[in-house]
Amino acid sequence: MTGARTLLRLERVGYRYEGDVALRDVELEIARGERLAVLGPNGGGKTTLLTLLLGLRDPSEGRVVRASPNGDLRLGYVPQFPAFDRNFPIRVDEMVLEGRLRERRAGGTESEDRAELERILERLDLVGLRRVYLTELSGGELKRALVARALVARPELLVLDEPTASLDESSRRTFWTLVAEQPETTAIVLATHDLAPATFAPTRALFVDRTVRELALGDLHAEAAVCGHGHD
Amino acid sequence: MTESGVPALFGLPAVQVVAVALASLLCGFVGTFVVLRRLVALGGGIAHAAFGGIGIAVVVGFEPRFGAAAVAVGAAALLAGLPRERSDRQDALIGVLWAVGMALGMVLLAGAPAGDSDVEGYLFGDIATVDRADVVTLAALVAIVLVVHARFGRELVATAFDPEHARLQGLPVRGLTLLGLLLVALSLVALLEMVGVVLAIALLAIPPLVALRWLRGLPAVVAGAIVVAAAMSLAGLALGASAGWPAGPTIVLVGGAALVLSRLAPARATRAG
Repeated sequence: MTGARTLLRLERVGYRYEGDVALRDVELEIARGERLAVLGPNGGGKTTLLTLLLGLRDPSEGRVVRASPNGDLRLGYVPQFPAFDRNFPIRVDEMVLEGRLRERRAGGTESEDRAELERILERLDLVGLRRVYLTELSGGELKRALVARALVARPELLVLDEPTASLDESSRRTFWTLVAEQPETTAIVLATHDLAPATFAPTRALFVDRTVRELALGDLHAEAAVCGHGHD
Repeated sequence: MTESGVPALFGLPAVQVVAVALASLLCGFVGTFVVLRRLVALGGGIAHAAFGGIGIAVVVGFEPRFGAAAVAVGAAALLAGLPRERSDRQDALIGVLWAVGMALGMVLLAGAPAGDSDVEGYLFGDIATVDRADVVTLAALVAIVLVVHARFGRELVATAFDPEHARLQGLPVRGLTLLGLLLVALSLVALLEMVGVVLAIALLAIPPLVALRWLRGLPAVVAGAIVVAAAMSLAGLALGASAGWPAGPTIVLVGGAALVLSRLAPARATRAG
């Protein structure tokens, strides 16, 4: 069983790629409102951990227990590398609205969709790009559109995988402000090397390298520096 | 009327023109899904596997299209049901289905009575043999495709664009993928009479590829693909009739030429700056 504030829990979770161990023996609980920083070297399993949290992968061992077994948890995800084809004939506003598919299926209305769309486009300075097709966006613009898609449904669990890569300085500031503005009940899991003290204030931190261990928050920025310079 | 007294449209037998119009609608809706979801090779595998179904049906004594439909649907279900962790093996499975379907069809048809063993007809089709029953089948399939798109269009687009994100949104991605693949399988079977096993996937793939060169936005691409499919089919029919070439291959050659021309011509304008 999970507590009232628990969103999900990983119990002795392991994951293998083609027989090779990517992660093993992961015990992790994520509660509403947590701010979780995930650090570790490239290839250490950070993205695998994030996709297990999101239910995009099934664990090879152990299990993921969710507070909402029906899958009605609102999830936002900014992937490090989008999996879609940028030549797909879809506009920025259409892509962002796909972040509200769950709400529409749960009875949300088009006018609610439109209001949330306007809010997030304005916030991320995407109003002028709303009718632009993805193939015509710069890398930074596409990243902002992905952030908008992740936030447009006011997620309960927001998972960010190197979200500020390819953003310019101004967009980074806007992004971190947006993250700071997320409701206190939203759990945020952030995998990044860009953990400047002014950007994200985690309540917990994990170091992922095949296994997951909790870091003391005081060691956090030293670890981030090691990961950023030693492994990437 | 044609010279043989058959009702005509644009100087061609009316039943062929109606079949082309219906097939063009399939090319627009299903073909665009095939191209955007990168299912062209998979569609080719399903079509060639269906040839094995034709062989089985002929040997057992069923209508060949039922055998083709059964195997095509089975192949689609098999490919859609591949576990996520094994999806990297999909290309190998497609290749195996492709080759085994062809081999099975060739072996079974080799032993069939002469009247049932028109291998060339099954492989390349013959639009001259399209009859009212084929048109009714095409019309029924078009109706199904339109209903599915009206009901599940947004979900199918989301799944085609970004299956990972669609899963996050709680969409039944595997079910939607199966639904899309079933429409692909049935469309390929419906096109067999016109262009045969070998060429059917070209009829689904070429029109959206041409449309994507110049048009932006999914509704425009679908509409453009319908127009391109109709134009290349009618041009291919007319050219084949006047030159004495087989209709199916001529349609595909006209489509191939249109695709080359679309690549040579300037692409659509893009955003300034």
